[in-house]
Amino acid sequence: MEKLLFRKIEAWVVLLLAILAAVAMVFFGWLVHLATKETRHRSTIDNLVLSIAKLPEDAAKMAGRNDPRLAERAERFAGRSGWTFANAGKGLAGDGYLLLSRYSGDEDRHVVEMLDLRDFSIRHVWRPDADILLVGARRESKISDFSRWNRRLFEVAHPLLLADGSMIVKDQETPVMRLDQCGKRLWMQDVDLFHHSTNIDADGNIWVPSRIEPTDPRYGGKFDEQAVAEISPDGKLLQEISLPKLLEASGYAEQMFSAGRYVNDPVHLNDIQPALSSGPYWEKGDLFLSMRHLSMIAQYRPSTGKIIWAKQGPWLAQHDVDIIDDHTIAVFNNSAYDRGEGWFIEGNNDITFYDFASDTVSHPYQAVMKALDIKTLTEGLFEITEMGRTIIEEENSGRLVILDKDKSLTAEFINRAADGRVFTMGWSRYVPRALGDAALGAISKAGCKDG
Amino acid sequence: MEKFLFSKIETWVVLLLALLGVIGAVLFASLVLTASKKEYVLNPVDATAIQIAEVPKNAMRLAFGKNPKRANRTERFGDRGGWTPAKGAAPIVKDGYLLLSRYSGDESRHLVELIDLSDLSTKYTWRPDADTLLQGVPRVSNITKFDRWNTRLYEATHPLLLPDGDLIIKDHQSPLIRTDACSRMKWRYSDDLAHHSTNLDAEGNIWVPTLVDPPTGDKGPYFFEDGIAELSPEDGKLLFSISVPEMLVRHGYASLMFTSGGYLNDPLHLNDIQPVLADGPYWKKGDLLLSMRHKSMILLYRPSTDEIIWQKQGPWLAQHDVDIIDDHTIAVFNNNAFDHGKGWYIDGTNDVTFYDFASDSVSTPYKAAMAKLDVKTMTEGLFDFTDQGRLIVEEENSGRLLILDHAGNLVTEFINRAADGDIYELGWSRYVPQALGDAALKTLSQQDCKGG
Repeated sequence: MEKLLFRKIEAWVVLLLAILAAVAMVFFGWLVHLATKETRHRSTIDNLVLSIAKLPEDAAKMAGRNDPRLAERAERFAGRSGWTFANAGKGLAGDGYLLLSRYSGDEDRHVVEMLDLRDFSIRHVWRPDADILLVGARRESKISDFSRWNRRLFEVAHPLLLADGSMIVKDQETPVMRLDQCGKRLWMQDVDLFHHSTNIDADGNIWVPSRIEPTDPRYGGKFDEQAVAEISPDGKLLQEISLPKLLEASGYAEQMFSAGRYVNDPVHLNDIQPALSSGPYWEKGDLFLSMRHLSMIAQYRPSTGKIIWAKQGPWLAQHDVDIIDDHTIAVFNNSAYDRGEGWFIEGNNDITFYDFASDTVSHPYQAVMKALDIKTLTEGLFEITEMGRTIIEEENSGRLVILDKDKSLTAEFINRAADGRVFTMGWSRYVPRALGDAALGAISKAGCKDG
Repeated sequence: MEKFLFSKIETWVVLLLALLGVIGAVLFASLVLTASKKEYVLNPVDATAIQIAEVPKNAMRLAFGKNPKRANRTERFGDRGGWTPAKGAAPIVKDGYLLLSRYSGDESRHLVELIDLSDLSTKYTWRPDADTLLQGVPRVSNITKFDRWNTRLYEATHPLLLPDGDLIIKDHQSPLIRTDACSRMKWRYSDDLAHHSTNLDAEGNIWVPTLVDPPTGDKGPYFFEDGIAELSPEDGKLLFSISVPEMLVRHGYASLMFTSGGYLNDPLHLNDIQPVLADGPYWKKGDLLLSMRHKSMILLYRPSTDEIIWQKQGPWLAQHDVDIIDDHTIAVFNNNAFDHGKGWYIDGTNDVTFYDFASDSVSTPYKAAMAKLDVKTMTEGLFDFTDQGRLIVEEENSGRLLILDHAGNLVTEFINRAADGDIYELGWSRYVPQALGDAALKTLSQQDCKGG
């Protein structure tokens, strides 16, 4: 070995090798540049060169920087942690429970807590263990990287509590699972991967956005073919409607594909809200769909396969559409733009109301959202409780606020860990008193401890 | 030098250098990756990384690149060139002229020719000399590249003939210029650069899409801010101008341009402004029909009140050229162009798609003819109806122009083939009614510059 290391090489050979190495480096850079093209269907070589090019970034991640669970824009919350109550004091008379979904920096995992809004006591905690729950799940995708499929990073996005104490859980792009009262998996639906909201319709079936894979080759190999999926309470996939195909059939092809530039995720479905009863502007069973990348809310009628109504804007990159009364919907309006230098929020988020009767838009929360500086670039939701209070979750920022009926601040939760860092939330949900009582009773009866 | 080249270096030093080289290559690749993911490269480190990574591509372009004026999809045309009247087609009698705008492969420059449709003879030729016409115009922009601002590559896009034989010309993103019969400049408007169509309104004023540069507000430094400009034909004075994105934001259409799916620096791509020449049940004289390719949208705008009267996205896709057909119908040159992740392609063929405001219905009366003739231009492309109802269709990208009769039968075809056998692009030709062409020719015949 020593003999080899001290062997002499003439300088011209070294120079020649250096020139070849420089040429190879330039070609390697070119391969990386080509592989990043969104329109390109990645080959094995593309994936290899990208893996090599990502080594420095991955190394930085492993060294502890760029923890994906850390909240953004949390400097606004300096000095505050956990629950803080405004003048009205602790306790929200007459309301039910909050299913608080959050990363716990202290436990280094995601937890779901059931809070009694009467006194903010934690009545039950779920700690879904993705390392166990996702055993056996299909891991076939050209788009998902499965990086969050582990206990440490798994987020229980928009958990849905059922009256028997069981819970429907998933992360962004994972199977949907139902867990029993003690957190044990009852079933898993992994025909495709599911993401964003989880909501229940009037018949007790569950509606979840999904992604169809393999994608229709007409749309390109890396196309994100979003779908509207209906799952029965026992985990059967009842239907899965390709949203791009529905939009194409409804005359919206140009919204997804035109000559400006190909986008592999032109729709980005992030909420499916079933209409629970009929009204003058919708029928029971209609679905309100929120499509972020089109800034569009559409009313879809599964019984006829038709889009009944659609509106683009004034909401921008919105999440969460809810039905307010028989002629009004409201939208968590992220007001998020990208104007060439990265995403930003124009002012603050908003809850934007649309009245079908008068075809008008209103912004009743604009002042308070500004006063509280509500800002989540992506995700974010709101709920209106039985007593008319409003729960707003800033997912990205790790904050949840509760407003009184007069829109004054009642309570604020900052998801700060003991080490001072603030972590993101996971699509919390209001639970009506009757449902929460029933679920807690069933959990207690089953003899389950926090799990 | 020789002494250095043959000096000895120990292997461990070489291995150490090699290791540093590998680390350097990975860091360089990481830089390229970071820069490539950005929509616009603003800092010099990213820009340098991209420039180095693109060396192989640029070297190949220099070595094997074709003349940018050569047409594409021309294999469909066999060895045909010039005018080829269809067998058995009825002759055209006194149906005006064609202002044929084309790149001449023989002359290596763009020409504008006035063709008499009765016998397809060339009555006059203009040879705009961009080297002279564009002298002294500032060339500072984040958006415009100026690579066509020379006689060899300049295209007189959508030339507009005036009764005195003058032309209003421009290229995409260049000054709007009025030239005389000898192609000498009469006036030039260069405060904003014009692009795409040039059309006259009922008052005789000129409407052109422009580029607001630098972009206003916080749209990003590389944002292509489409403008609408009205100019006087007499002296090129700006009479009216607005920013289309600002107008859309005012009317609640911000989500059309800016959302979170991915930033697009050219979200609208205004490619035609068609002034309404007379009042009708669905529009008023002075309204403007706007075609925005990247939204596949046609929009009816009323400058007098700053109102959006109507808009429709699709069924046309990536369209160019909207024309008013009668008092309740418009028609659109529908490129039918998609990008489904594997680059742009045309779904079938181009079409001329009609929209009837009265019945809110779409029809495609030329669909069969367009399919039979395999009309395919990925970008650009236009149609005009003659006074006698013939349809002129220009396939800009492919260097072909067709004239069809009322029934959609081919009357004649022009293929812009040069003596070298290559076919070159067209430049937004235009139908010229008989009276206007006659008037212009009368003046032109008195000139002594003999064409351009």
